[in-house]
Amino acid sequence: MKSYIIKKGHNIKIKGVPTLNIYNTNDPEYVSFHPARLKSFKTKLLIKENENVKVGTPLFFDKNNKDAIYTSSVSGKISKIVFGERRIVESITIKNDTKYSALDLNNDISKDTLLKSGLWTLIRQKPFSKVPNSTSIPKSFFISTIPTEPFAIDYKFLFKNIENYLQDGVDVLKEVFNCDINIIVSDETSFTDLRGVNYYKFNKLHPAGNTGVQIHHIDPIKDANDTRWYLSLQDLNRIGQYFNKKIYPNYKYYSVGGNAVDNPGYYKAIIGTPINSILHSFKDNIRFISGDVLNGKEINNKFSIDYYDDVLSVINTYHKRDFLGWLMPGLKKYSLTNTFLSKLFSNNKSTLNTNLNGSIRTIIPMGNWDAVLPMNIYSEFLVKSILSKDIDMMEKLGIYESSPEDFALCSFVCQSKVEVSAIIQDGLDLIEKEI
Amino acid sequence: MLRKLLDNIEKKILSNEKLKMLHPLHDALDTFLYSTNTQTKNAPYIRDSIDLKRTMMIVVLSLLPAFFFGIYNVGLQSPEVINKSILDCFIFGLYKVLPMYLVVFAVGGICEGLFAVFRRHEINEGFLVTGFLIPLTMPPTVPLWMLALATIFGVVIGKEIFGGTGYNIFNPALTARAFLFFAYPSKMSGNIPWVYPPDGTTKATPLLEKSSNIPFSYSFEDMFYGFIPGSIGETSTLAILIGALILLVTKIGSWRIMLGTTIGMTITSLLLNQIGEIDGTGAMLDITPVYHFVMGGFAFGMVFMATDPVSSSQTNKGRWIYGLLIGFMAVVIRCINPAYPEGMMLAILFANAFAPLIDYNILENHIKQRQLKYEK
Repeated sequence: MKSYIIKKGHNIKIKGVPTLNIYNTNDPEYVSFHPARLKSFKTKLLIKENENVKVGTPLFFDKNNKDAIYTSSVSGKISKIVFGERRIVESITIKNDTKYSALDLNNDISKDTLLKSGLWTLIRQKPFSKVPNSTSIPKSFFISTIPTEPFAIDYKFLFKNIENYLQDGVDVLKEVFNCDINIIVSDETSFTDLRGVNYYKFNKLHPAGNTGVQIHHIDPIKDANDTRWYLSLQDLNRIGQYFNKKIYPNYKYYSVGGNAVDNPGYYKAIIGTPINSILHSFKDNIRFISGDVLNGKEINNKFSIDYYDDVLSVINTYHKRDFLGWLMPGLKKYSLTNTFLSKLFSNNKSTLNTNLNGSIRTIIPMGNWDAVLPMNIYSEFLVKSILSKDIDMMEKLGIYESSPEDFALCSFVCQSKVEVSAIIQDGLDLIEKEI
Repeated sequence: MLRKLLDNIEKKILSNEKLKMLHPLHDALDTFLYSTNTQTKNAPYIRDSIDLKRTMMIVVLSLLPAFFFGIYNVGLQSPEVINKSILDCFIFGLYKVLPMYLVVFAVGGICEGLFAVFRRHEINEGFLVTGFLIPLTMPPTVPLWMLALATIFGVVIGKEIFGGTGYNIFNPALTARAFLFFAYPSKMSGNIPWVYPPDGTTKATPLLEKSSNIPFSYSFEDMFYGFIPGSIGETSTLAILIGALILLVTKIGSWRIMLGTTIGMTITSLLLNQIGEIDGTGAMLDITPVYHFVMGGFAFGMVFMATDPVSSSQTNKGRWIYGLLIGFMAVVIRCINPAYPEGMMLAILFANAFAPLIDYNILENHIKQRQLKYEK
């Protein structure tokens, strides 16, 4: 097994780490889907208001990828479809009849089954982090068993408590796509007994758990057509479950954490369950983020957690202004730099909140970005090439190997508060549009 | 109460169309007194506590030992101070140095404020360091009007015409210094040394003595601790090294640049020592690396000027080359060019000009390496 040692990075210490408890959530009265929150998605609806649906009924798809459909997780009636500006589909709400009667789906192992069951949409590709086109062929799959972002699911714990269909999932991918399946483990994980896969070992220093970083080290992406496919370990398990049991896996485990959550832990919930049906008591001045605090997206608590996320973060906002804050020793200031005394206590006394902690300034290359980016990429030059919209230079500097989540720590540590990961996303969007 | 006052002023400024353009000035004061409460709008939703104010504050902190020693030394070196007690020297030094700071910050502040108002951006913290550096690079004898001119030149030509902090090619403080050096050479070097001459009696700096073949009158210890004439901040190598330590521990100053400069200087001066032995001419060729380190502005330039993140090389490999180049050029100018006994300022400006070229080559090399990696 080939090992990679990642030295640059940081595991964020933030309060509210999910405890190792699994909570069941009640059947939600309504579930909702939010196509507008999917990245560069042009929604085409397959249902109308008041139509009856079953578990597995196709709901919508992306106009640019017609065969990859998104399916319903409950049976019941479409109660509301909300359109936004220029008729963007904001949300689809389904009244849950709690019977969960499912469409009669076959479980023959084929690409067609993956597409029709909606399981195809669990797979995404690098570059661009989008659902691969139904006609494309993968070079290989990358599956990380060691997500390292804050509040990430501890798969070792989870799979001790849930049924394991990973081998089924691997077998399906192998049979349908006939390509390499790369599983990334660490010293502590227990997923080393799968057959027909390649193993790679990484140490758990964020962002080493990110698929983008792993691909960069194992098999770097050359150009826009040189794709690697990936999916989460949980989704691999769901695919395995579907083909093994012929049951549509309409639920998912979410890790819920943050300093504003009463009961941080693991929550089992039907896909599309609104956040306020998972958590019930809310404090004031908090922010909900679908995904982790480094790379998630702010969300209304009436919405459901985004389709590809399995983390929900709820953190405090902070509006107090400290007197002469730049001058103080900073015993409780969280920082990766050695400029506050809190570093002497390894930031253990520090709290993190939604304050930007400074004003936006021009890029001043202090080397902070490179200190947390475990990739052979000249981040400052890549960012500048994106800001100047120089596609040729972006390609030369490795934009296809870059994903915003891998650069999240760069945004985190930047003293000029440059939105590094958002700029990387802009660069990828620009290229995607040009192609 | 102060908080409420600031908020009220902000409301008034923002509600009036004409006053609106003064907002950068209010913002500078406001964020100087109180940390901002701007919230994150997109991921990551949490951020490190470091900001540019803190970064610049650390640089100023690292300059304090040289600053305080410099004030004391101005008194010590001035024949006007008869009783050389620490307090008397310090008070005399303050009397000379404080007006310099007042002039630099007033003139520089006005320039920065005007640019911020007319170009509608926030006032950048960069000037805090530039303003703190400018007087330290000057002889205490420099007339205040020259200092004002130099500051304007440094801020406007050195920085603002390029777009402000982060876009400048040359270090603004050094640009200010270089302006005076070339515009008023007779006041800045040549035969007038960098001490305050109350009655016209003067004393040459160590470098000047060497270059003019005057019998050398300084001990190594004096030069290391800084009891020598020179620009205000540059004399005490010890105080500068304390500052270097702060910059290195906080990782704000690049160790690669500092080490590269030292190595470049050592190799070049050792080579010149060999030539000096054969040739036998010119005392400058015989200066050993250790003496180069403690004489003149070498240490000050290396620690505080060469490490400027904006005007230096921006890649790690580039920082090595950039440092080596400075060390090499500084010694070459000192020893071989008869016109300038001090070469550090010119060496750094020279390397500033070359930094983009160094980075360009490193980037091209990186791109080639990437291509090879894909072909594997």
